[in-house]
Amino acid sequence: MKPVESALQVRGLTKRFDRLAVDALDLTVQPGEFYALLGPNGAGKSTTLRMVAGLLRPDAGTVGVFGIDALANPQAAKRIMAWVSDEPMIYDKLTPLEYLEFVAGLWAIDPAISEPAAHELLFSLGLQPHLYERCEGFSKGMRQKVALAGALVHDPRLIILDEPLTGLDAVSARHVKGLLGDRVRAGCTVIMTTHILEVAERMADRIGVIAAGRLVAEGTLAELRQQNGHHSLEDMFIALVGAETETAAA
Amino acid sequence: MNSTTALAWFARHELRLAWREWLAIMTAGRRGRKRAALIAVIVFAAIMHLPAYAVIGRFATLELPLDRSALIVMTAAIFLAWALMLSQAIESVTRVFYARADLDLIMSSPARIISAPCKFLCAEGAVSTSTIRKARKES
Repeated sequence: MKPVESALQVRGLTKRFDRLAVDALDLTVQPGEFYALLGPNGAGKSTTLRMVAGLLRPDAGTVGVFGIDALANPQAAKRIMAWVSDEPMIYDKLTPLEYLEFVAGLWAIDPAISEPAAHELLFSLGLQPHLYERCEGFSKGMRQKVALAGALVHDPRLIILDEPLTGLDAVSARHVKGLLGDRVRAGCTVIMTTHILEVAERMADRIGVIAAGRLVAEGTLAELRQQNGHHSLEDMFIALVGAETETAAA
Repeated sequence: MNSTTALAWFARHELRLAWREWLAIMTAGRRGRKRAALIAVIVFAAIMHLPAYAVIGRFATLELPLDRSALIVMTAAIFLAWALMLSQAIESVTRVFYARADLDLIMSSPARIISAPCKFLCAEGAVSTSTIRKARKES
């Protein structure tokens, strides 16, 4: 029987700017998993995900996406991935439909497939009344939703999101969480960084905690509780990150 | 999508954005002002022909072959206008590049042709077009 390929397999991933941002990181995410990557500011979460998404070249290490070597063959890996940054860019002078049409074009999706998909996505995110309005007047939440719809229009197998819920109101956050939950149930893999621990606690199948560029804890919520002896994720997070930050400072 | 199609497709996208941005500036963001803006542009262009005629009208009587001084003046004038437009275009495209910050989206896509320099060229082409439009209007 053929072994199941990991959705993401990172080995020895290293990146140095002025200081070491990611330190020989190993990370494995299974297909269909919702993986939350937690960590304090400057821990290396975004840098890690940017390297996985092909936006940054690592100094060392390997990145495998569904068995594809993402460093040797970035185009093939990018074809099945989607990336949403914490400050998503959408074109002010385009309508949500035009933006999705542009994104679908980048992935060379046939308009006959992408147009109905775009309508469906925007509808599911509550943007139906704004389909033909230009994005220039949109709130941060609406822009985030348009960017998310853009990321999903090519039906990626791996979705990477950097702080997708920051600045969203409760209704928008629920829309986004609902859509991501639906995708995971449909077999898609989601990797998300977040500072909102409650989201990780509620939605993630597994949680990884990163500090000073290293993975300091990983597992399901129950496993993390067992390993660290704290009941709440917040207590665990503070204990793990605090200890690691002190070690790094020493 | 092959390289040429991708480049043409991307240039079309950049032109659409540049056109809408230019139109928004001309109409102060109000769609109802399109007609008034169009009339204003035509009137402005017509008026600008007067100083243009005053400057270059005297060359209208020149006959071939041109003498050296006329050629020098004309070459210098064309070069000056070209350098001005180029510097304006580069300055504008750099500003657009930073303001839009769409490289993350484009670089995270599998579109092979759309490298950063190619994107820069397309954006520059689109911005140059609007700069030329502006320059023609002002000359």
